[in-house]
Amino acid sequence: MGHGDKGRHSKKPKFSSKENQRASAVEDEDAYYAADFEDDYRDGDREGKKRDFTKLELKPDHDNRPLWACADGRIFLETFSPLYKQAYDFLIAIAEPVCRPESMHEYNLTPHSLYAAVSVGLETETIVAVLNKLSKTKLPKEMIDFIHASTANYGKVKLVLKKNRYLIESPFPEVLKRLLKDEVISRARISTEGVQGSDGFTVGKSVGEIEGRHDELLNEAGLAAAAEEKETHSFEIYPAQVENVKQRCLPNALNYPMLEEYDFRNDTVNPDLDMELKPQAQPRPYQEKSLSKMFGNGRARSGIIVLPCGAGKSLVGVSAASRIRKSCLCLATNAVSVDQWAFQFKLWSTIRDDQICRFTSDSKERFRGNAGVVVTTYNMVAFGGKRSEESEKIIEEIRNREWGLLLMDEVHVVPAHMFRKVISITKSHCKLGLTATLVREDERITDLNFLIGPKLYEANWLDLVKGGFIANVQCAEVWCPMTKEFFAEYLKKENSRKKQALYVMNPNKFRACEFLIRFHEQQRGDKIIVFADNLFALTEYAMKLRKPMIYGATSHVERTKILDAFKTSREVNTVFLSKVGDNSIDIPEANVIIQISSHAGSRRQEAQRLGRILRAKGRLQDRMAGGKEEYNAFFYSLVSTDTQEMYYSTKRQQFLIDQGYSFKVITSLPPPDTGPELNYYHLDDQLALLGKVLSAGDDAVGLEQLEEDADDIALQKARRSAGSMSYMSGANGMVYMEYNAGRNKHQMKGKPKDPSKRHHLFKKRFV
Amino acid sequence: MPQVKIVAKNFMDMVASLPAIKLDKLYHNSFICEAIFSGVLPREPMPSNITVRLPTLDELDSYAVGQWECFLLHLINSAEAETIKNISSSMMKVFQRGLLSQRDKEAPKLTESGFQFLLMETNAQLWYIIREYITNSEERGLDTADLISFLLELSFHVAGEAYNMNTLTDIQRNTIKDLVDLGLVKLQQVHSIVSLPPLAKKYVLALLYVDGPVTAKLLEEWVLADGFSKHRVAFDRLLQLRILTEIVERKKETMYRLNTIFQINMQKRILNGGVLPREPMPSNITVRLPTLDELDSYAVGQWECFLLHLINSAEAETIKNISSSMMKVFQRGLLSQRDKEAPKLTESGFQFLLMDTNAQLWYIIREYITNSEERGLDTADLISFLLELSFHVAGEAYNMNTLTDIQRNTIKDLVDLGLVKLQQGRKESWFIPTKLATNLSISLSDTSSRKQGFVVVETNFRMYAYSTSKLHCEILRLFSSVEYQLPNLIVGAIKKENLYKAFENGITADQIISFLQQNAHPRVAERVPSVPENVTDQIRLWESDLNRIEMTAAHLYDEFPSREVFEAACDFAQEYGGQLWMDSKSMRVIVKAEILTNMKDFLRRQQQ
Repeated sequence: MGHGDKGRHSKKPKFSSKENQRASAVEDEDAYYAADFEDDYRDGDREGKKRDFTKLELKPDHDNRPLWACADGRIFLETFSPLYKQAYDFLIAIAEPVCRPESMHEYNLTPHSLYAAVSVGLETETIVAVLNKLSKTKLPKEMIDFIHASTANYGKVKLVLKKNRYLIESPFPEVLKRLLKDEVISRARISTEGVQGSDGFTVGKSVGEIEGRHDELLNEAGLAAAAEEKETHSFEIYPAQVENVKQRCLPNALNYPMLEEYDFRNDTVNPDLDMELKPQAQPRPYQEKSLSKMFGNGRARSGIIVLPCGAGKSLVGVSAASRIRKSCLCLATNAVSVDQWAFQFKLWSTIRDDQICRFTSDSKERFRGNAGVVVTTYNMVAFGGKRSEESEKIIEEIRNREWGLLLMDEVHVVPAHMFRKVISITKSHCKLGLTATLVREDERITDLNFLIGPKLYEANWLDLVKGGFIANVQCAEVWCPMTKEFFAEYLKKENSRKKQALYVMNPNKFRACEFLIRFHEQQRGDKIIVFADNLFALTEYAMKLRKPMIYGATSHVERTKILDAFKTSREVNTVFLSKVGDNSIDIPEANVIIQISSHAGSRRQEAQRLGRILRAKGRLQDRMAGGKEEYNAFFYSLVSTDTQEMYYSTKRQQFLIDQGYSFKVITSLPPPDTGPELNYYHLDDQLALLGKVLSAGDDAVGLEQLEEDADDIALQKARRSAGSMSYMSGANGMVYMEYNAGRNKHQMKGKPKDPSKRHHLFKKRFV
Repeated sequence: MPQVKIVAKNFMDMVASLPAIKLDKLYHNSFICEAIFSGVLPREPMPSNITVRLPTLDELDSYAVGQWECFLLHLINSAEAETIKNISSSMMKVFQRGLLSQRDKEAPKLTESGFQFLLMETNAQLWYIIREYITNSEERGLDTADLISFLLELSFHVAGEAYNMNTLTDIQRNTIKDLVDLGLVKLQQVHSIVSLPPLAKKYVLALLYVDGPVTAKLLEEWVLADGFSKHRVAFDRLLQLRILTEIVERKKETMYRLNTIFQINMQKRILNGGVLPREPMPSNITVRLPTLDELDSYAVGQWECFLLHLINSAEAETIKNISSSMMKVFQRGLLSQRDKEAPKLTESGFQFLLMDTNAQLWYIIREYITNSEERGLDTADLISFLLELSFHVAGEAYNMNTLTDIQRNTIKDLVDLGLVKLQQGRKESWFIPTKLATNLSISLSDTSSRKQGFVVVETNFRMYAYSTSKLHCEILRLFSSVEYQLPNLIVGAIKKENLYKAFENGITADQIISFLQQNAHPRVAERVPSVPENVTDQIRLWESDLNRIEMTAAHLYDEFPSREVFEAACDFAQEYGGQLWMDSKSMRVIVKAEILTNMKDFLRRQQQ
């Protein structure tokens, strides 16, 4: 997109890297935000080079065909083509969407996307044939070769969990032999005592796949549907080594990516769970489609389904669980969303109350009977420290059970090592990851690919907006010029650590924020969420405007109370949230977001925050394209001009812009004629504020230190060391400082985020 | 911001800029006389370079709806609507007949049929009113047949195109004025008119058979007081063209007479009628003439090749006929070259590229004509030939033998510009004027010169151009980075650094935006706005971002001998309102350059 300065790391202002490190040192989750900085490889290697494919031969009837395919894997799709719908369904199965605005979509063919294609049952020849059919030009030879090379080995090896044993299965014994030549895999193998056959493979029979039809287009291309019995060979591996083996099989190593499938209908070992979707739960077309990708061949595939926030991810999850009808482990990011998931299960399915239980630091329930649903957080499962006796028992149960479905919410948020841990602890036949924003083009997307499975489905935001399934959001970037005094301080070297506080506390920004809150509360009667990452700013703003706020140290009870008031009370129309509100806090009433500070250049955070207001409101016909209201939700991002915030803001919007959202720039807020009715009109007030910012400790004005809701023990600690509290009490605790510096050092050394390599002091505390 | 000045927008301007002797020479050609006098008669849409800014179709639509609603409002409630001037109240009454009923001294009331009328859809309403208008026309002494035929004619005009008012009869003009009130037509004041202003024509006709001068007084007597400004315009034009010459006699009375040569030729023309110096060749000689489409694409191809050559000599195929020295002339002002570097487009060069073809053509032709004298050509000859050429029929073949040597050389140059195509038969050779040539004569332009758009701009600043043209690619590259080139698609992204480069080169945000809007692909042209608002906003913001710093020429004074002197200097500067900055600690002061001399004087006095 146009803001040209993205993807140019060399030009990145120096201070940002420093701050980055500091930020990423704070906690693991943060490191993920920071990772967003290095993710623009697609722009990086695109820049400067132009690709000339004018030599490609146009087909005579190219007007009727919807797409161009380039030798480097880029595909352009016209959305106004009559074949758009079919082409879109096909492309989303085989390629990664790069950007999807109104008229023209761009996609990239990658080995991963092709892997995903194969795993949903597409064959190499089908892919080439359909692509050729849709293309305006003759397919470049490079692309055909690429598809062949990437898919040749796909789909040959499967990982099957049978009777609590992991088996690697393939109809081709020679492939298994090749795999066993690899050191990692051969070490992972559990050698069986008695030798069956000369190569030691267990020979079994399995039913060949009965291919579900992809769509009409593929039908034309002719899909072979073979339903013969095939002889399969297999060997067993250690459960602890599963992830390593899977990784060795990926395209960058042995290139035999493993498919994970679960034949739940023929699973007689695990007890069935008696649950069904309630009749009123009617999946929408795109939810239906994503489920059909998952259950395409009568078995359950592991993978990730990407739906925008508010588009009804939970219904997809509940539907999947009630189709498999086995025990289900549902993982969420925090206690609030655990409650919400449990509620969703009860809302959409016929599950009995005693079959579902929550397992968090506050509530430790256990289900009765031999099958059920457990909802818990990633941290509860992955927590490595000492647990209370009760939770130890529950975790033991989780460990020993063979889960039919491992349902993972917000998979983009969770650190990879935690994933690895969770997955190695729990044994599941099928894993389903749900997320709204799969924006990790860094190596971590690869992580997800082998930890969970390929992306099964990704919805197009704009199509959902047009269909009225999610709100049509007016996005705006409000440019607030720095006041002279603030900018002078901002430029001073000695204030380098206060930069963020200075541009967030910019009085013009405050006035713009106050103006927007008043406008939406009074003129439109909207419900407003104000986001601020900077805790100092959050408290300052909230206190000055007399609005409730929620941040990391707010207790679960208080949170629930504030959110309830926000939902029901007419008096409470605005709530201030820190980073804790980014993910999975469901606040369906809100339809306006004002963002006064944010985490650097994290595109994911931007998208997640937008997601808070995406849940469609009002009547469907009003929302549909051409309906009564053009926009029914508003997203404002307040930016102080001429500060690093501008640079970050551009980066942050990238994901949403790629989804077809546009940011309108507003330069004159509040309107010039507003006077002292908004705060900080007089210079004296502004200077007083400036003094307050400058006299605050460096750490107090920094980012919020958010602790994970791990277990009761960890949670207490978190409350004690929250940065904001120490600031409020006026004592900048030494403990906190030490902790920060230590983490910093650790980060500077560039150590990987592998928990085992952590400094021994922190090993215990933060794993 | 220097602009490319198109001094001559049409032939009349061009002719007017010629010196007197040349003009006389020009008027020897009776054809030219007529061309200047009458333009060409059929009512073709006016080319966009004459009509200042045509309303877009949407604007036109909303204008029409607005007018129509105003009319309706007037119809049902004369009191509330603004009065409509042209439609007389008696006429209005006719319309109201049947729709309103009025009992004595009460406000008029809507009748039943009046209600129904209001509920009808616009088209039906329109037909009702038009029928009333026609029915009523005879009462007003109009010929119903004429009216109907004109209305019918009007319905076949292209909505949104401009048509010259001069092409209408008086009656038609009156009718049009009535229609304006209905919102059927939008009149726009047009500044430069194809041929002579209508009043000037009248004068020429009046004076055509008057031998000898006429006093200015007499001429002024023709004019009513309120028409004086029109008279002035017409008169100035005639004087400028030296069709009318001023003679001051001893009695100090200003006299005017027609240019004799013009007069004689015009008289001949009127008596004998006239044709072009050459006729199209019969089709049995010319083997196979290109179709108009082929000719169009040929012309466009040649023109683009020429442009490409103009901006980037290296990449384009060389053009043989236009010598490199000639090319340099064209490039003058458009390209700048520092020693041994590749030539770079200047600001006006960018602007040139973004102009539409007609405007570009005019710029080049203008340069070509200006330069002709240096090459020993007679400017008058050249202009007269070009003007002649513009009245040829596009697509017809004309024999080369009818041309003089000079004209033949000129034709060869014009081939490279795509104005004509040369063909060689067995014995004879001939030239075929293309649309570019005929477009030179303004009234002969056609709607197809409004090119079909090809650019799609998305909200994510990506740009997709459905084009195979290298030139388009080069133009897009001026303000965006081209990322992919496909057989019929160019993919680019509008980025900050591209735009900064463009701004540096003098191209403005508005130019870029209007280029994107004018060339919007039909798929997106219908949507409003055709270029996403956030993109246009951002382009403008980036531009204004660059203009935040204001430069003021200034001088810095330091090392004052004493604090007193420093303070006195500061006071002095402040008094004159020229102090920009001062720092009393280091004793330095910066003053505006304007007060430099005063400051110098003051300091000298201080030293003494």
